[in-house]
This record gives sequence, structure tokens and C-alpha cells, in this order.
Amino acid sequence: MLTSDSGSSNDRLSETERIDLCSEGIRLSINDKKIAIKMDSIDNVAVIIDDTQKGENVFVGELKIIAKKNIKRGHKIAIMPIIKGKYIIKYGVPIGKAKNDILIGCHVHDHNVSDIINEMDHMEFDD
Amino acid sequence: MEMMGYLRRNGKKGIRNLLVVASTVACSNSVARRVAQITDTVVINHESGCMDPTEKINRTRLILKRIAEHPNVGAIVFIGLGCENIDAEEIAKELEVTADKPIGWVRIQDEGGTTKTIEKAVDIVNKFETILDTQKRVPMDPSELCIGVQCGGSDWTSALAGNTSIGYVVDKLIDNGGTVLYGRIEGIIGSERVLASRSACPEVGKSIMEMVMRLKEDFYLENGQYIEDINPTPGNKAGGITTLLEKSVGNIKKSGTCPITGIIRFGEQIPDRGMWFLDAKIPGPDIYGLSAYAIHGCHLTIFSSGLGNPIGCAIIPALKLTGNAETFQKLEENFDFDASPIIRGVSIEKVGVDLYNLMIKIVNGQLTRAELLDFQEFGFPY
Repeated sequence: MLTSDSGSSNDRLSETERIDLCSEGIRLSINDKKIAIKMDSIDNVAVIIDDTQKGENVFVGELKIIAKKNIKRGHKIAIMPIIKGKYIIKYGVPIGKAKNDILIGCHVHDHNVSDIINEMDHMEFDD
Repeated sequence: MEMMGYLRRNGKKGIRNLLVVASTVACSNSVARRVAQITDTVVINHESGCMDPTEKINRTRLILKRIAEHPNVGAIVFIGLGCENIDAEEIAKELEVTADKPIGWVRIQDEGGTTKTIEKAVDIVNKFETILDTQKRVPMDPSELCIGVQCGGSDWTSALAGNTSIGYVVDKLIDNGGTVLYGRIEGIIGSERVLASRSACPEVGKSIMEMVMRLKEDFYLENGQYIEDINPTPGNKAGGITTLLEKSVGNIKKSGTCPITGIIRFGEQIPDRGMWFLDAKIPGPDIYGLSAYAIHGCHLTIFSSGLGNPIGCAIIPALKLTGNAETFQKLEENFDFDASPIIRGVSIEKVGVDLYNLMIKIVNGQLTRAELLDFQEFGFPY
């Protein structure tokens, strides 16, 4: 069974030895590097799977990102720059709006995201 | 893998062959429970049946009838007191037409006390049991199956793995011509546009938008606050959920991606196959959600819980799963399925297929953890 626990640091596998396990474009690292899951191909955030410290590498599929802050599991990390006023896209849909410019690797949460639920009320339902 | 079910006289198929003992009024709860303790039956108790406003009495009567009509129920015995609003004989007579199956009734005041009532009820149960014992399962097409989808005790894994794997099963069942009911509509607030865009026709999309608008208005009128003011909760935020939209999109993951066929109101029968929403306010605790699925004819529920919940439902099996590997380890005796491999990179399809196959096994009689533990909750949603 595969786990993220690699044993001693000497056994660490190189990046190329990481095993691609899945059909959803999500990759699993079998060394102790941290991973995040991107839920939809158009998302600009990914979900951190293991608590991550500032400065650590986070792998989102092929993509390597350096965490700019400590980010807890279940929380979002920006995987591309998000300009102030642009939507935060998760699960392929807008879930909020950037309150300020968000750099790659930043924690994306209520300190830099505003709700768009009231904005949505004024959007026309396209039938 | 083929599905097998019990053919009822109305053509529907059940996935269990339950013998139910139900009280028609709260006064006969203890007698009904005693009968269930000494026989192989499932008990339905409630806190109504008399001296309640007509609307509540009518809903109680409706729920009792829906239980009797449920395809998982092979036979039912009503335990009445004698002077209540919902008369045992009357409801049994009404059901002779709509639920063509063995239906019995006793009244405590007629029989002359609880001992005689219990004896008579046990006699009826034994007689019905011999009838049920002769019934055998027959092949059942996936298009004859109806499931309810639920989540509760959610955590950061629910949207990523738990609900997502349910969504896969939903899409597969709908592809195979089956039926899915989605209750707990308060969880969809924020995602109404996503759902409306999936509706099978524009009218359904409009109904979804109106349903959610009404939900939001009612919430404000009742509480003087907007739902987004209290949602996501501090616990949700600590878990990484930033906005109500994000929370609700995670919630509706368990509806899959299939087209939405329509909406039913409380007490209505699901008129056709496909993906349906239940437009009804259901009280908070999860057992009311499970019971609502039973009342509306679902054969079973698939229930995702990040943190874990031991409950079962008296009438329908609850297949319980978690997307959280730690929760699965900690509460393994209360879970039927571990969806957490998705988080470690195993594909949704692979986990989803395993879940679908487990569902078929449970349809065919494999007991869920809650059934093994004899957890038979039922709550009347008012």
C-alpha cells in the first residue's frame, strides 16, 4: 500500500520517481513532499492535503508551488496569480472574489476573499 | 452484478422484507416497542397521533401510510390505543387499497390492556412472518432503484472525497435509468445557478431558483439575518471553507453532474425516474433527513460524513462513508466505505465504482454497519 511516509530522508525518491496514480490529473507523491488537489481544470486554487509550512514545496499535479504562508489541510492555496476583483475558481465555478492581488502560493481565505452571493442575485439566470 | 429485490403486488420492488410494528399514537409507543423486542420486527414510534393541530395529525397519518406503502416493508401491524385521532383500524382499511400487503391492527382499549394487546400483536406478527418467509427475491433492474443522498458532520474531506464519490454513484445510477432524491435543500443555497443550469428543462431551472429564493426569504423573515451572515460557520471557516458558495458547491457534489428532472414537495410521490429535489423543510438532526428519504420511497441512502455518525434508519439501509482516513480508522465499526483514497490520488471513478458495487451488495441483502448494530432510528419530520 502506498503512503506518503517515505521512511528515512536517505530513501527519498526524486521527483521523477513520484508515481502517477490517477486519471484526474492529480498526482501522489510518495516522498514527504506536500500535495494539493485541484478539483477542476480551470481552478485557480487547490486544496492542501497535509498541513504545510511557509517555504515548503507543494505539488499540484506536475506543478510545484512554494507555500508563502503556513496553510492547514483543507484550506486553499493560490496556484496562479489572482488579480484583485477577479473570481476565485474552485470546482470549476466562482466561489468568491479576490479582495486584493493574490500571489501564487498564498493562502486563499476570508482575509483576501469576499463573498459574491449577493452579486449572484443580480445576475440573470440564463435559460 | 445483478440486483435482486422483493416484488410487491403494486409492481414495485423492495430491497428488504421488513415486518413493521407502528404505533398510531404516542400512547401506544411502549406496547409497540415491547412487541418489537420479542419478535423479529422493526418498531416505529412517534410523539403525535392525537390532540395535535389537524395539520400535524394529517402529516403523521401520511407518514404512517408512506411507511406501510414502502416497498422495503413486507407487512405492518398498527398498535392503536382506541380513542386517538389516527385510528388503527381506519388507517389499516385505507391502506388495503394503496399498500396491497399484509396489514394488521390492534387497539389497547379493545383488547383489554397491554398484556392482551401484546399477545394478539405477536400472534399477528407470527402469522405475517410465515407469509414473508415464503417470499423470494427476484431480479431487479437498476431503473427500479431509488436512492437518497445525504451528508452530515462534514469536514474538509466531504467535498473532496465523500460527496464526490456519491456523485459518481448518482450519475451511474441515473445513466442506468434509476432515481435519486436530494433532500436538505438548505444546503444548496449559493449553488442554485449551478443546479438550474443542469435542469432538464427551463421550467425546472426556474423552479429551483424560486425554491432557493423562498428559502432565503423565509430564513430572513424567521431569523432577521441573511443566511450568508451565519454561513459558513466558524467551524467551516477553520476547516478552510471561505464562502457560502464554496460550501454549497461542495454539498451539491453528491448530486453528481446528471440533469435535474424536477422537484417534489413533502408527501408527494416521486413521479418518474431521474434526479429529484425534495422541496421541504426537514428538522436538523440527520435522522430526519434519512426518514424523509424513506417517506418518499427511497430504498436506501448513501450518507457521507467527514466526522462520523452511527445512525441507521428503521425502513431503509444507510450506506455510510467518509472521505477522511482518520475518521474511518477511528469509527470503522460505523462506516461501510472509505472514500479517502481519492484524497491520496486514487481516481474518483475507481472509488466510485467500488462504492456502486457495494451499494448493489447492500441492495441484495448485505447488511450495513447500522443494520448489523440494529440501529433503527426513525424521526417524523414536522
